[in-house]
Amino acid sequence: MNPIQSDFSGNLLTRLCGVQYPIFLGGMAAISGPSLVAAVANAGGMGVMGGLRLPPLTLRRWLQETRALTDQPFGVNLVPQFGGPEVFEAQFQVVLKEKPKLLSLFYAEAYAADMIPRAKDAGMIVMVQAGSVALARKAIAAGADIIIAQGSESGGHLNRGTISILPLLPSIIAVAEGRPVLAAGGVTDRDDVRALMSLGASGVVVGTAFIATDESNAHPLYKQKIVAATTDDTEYRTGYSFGWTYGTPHRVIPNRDKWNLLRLIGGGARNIDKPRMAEKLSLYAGQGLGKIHRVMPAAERMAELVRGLPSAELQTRWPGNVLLRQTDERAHG
Amino acid sequence: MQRRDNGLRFSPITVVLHWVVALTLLAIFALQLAMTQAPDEVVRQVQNLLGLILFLVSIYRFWARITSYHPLPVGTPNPIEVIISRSVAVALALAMVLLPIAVWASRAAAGEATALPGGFSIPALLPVNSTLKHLVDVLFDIGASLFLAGLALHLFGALKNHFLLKNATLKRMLGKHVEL
Repeated sequence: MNPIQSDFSGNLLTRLCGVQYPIFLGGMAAISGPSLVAAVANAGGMGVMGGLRLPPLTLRRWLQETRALTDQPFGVNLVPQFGGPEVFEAQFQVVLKEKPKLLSLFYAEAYAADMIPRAKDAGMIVMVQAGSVALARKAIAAGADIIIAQGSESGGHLNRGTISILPLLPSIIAVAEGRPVLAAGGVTDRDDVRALMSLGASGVVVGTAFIATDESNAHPLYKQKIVAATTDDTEYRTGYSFGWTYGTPHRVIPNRDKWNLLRLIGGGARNIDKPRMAEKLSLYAGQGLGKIHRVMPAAERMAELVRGLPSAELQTRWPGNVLLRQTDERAHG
Repeated sequence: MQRRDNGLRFSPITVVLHWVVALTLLAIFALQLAMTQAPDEVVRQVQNLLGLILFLVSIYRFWARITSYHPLPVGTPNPIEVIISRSVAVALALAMVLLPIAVWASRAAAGEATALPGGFSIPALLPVNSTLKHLVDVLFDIGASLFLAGLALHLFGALKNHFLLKNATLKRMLGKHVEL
């Protein structure tokens, strides 16, 4: 049962996805596992599993474990470029068989035209994360149902923009032809949700703030580093991050240890890793971490974010929603 | 038949050539040991032939390694171990291209052709030059030391996975199909 109280009456995005609140968990590789996905889903949001780097058998097991933990809709994020086309196809076959409600794609431009229709034919909703208007246009042309406007404030990998969420969000809404557009980047609390929804976002994607939750698969030291860090403590990088093509942009809490070569590598640290992974790597995190003050249950984090959602009455008056309606009317004549 | 490695499995060619290279290396070491006991020209020619085979196979292996995806690791190793193990594998493949060239260059700089069985030989195309020979020998010694260190790490990783972690990493390189 979801104990969170809100006057939010739902919108196009929540109706499309069958969730109560337009709060989406970022599909963070290895971190967004069954427990966290289910916790977010059970709190009324959209839990999105981090499918990147998961071998197909593990992906299937995680999807089944999640299903055992929640009867609410949830999604999975895949990154086709990771591991090569055979790995992605095998992961995709698992997803087609297990049929989570939502498929989220990232760095998928080369695959989108093929994969999006296949996923939609299987009954899934397809969401694509884009860091520029050009990438959003490509995703829309390929048939994406939902676009994530990924601001450069985001932690982890960025595709590929350096555009912050304030200019990016309205620009993508303007080309989205009425599709829901989620805002990602630095979203941590109710004020962020309120601000982005007032600009026309249909919902928000939250990553870093969910790393610091009891249910995330992050190593305890990783969670503590996020809690201890301030707004000034992240860095935009284009060097090496584990498993990604060299030069892929990403945002981390940089490790400053002088004689530690691992500080040059961006990565996450899982609870199954040794502590030195969290101690030595530069850890993925977004710019919102200055407002994360403690590790808490995911439901509590959800409750805080939900408090930023507009009431039904306010929803009709926000300029962003007026803009969205006008765009929708233009798109549909 | 799968000709190239992909993210899910090694190709049969990779598996076969891996063990061809391993056996060839073992034979080269064994012949070297034998020659320190009793130098023999025929044994030396056979060793040269094995070195030539190793060189040619290694060119393909190195190219295949850097142009194919590496299969996902078995189990849940930490990313740093994966980076190290893959880097060592690539470095070993490269070393097995470069070290035979160094052996040939050293002999060529000393004015020796590299003799093969059946009266064949690899011609010495370099000018006789003792400075060049000395430089190549130093580079070979450094390269060979690094190669042996990498090989030890590679073996340690294989045995650790097999006996300590009890996963299918070694079996996968023995041709067993491992579902990922």
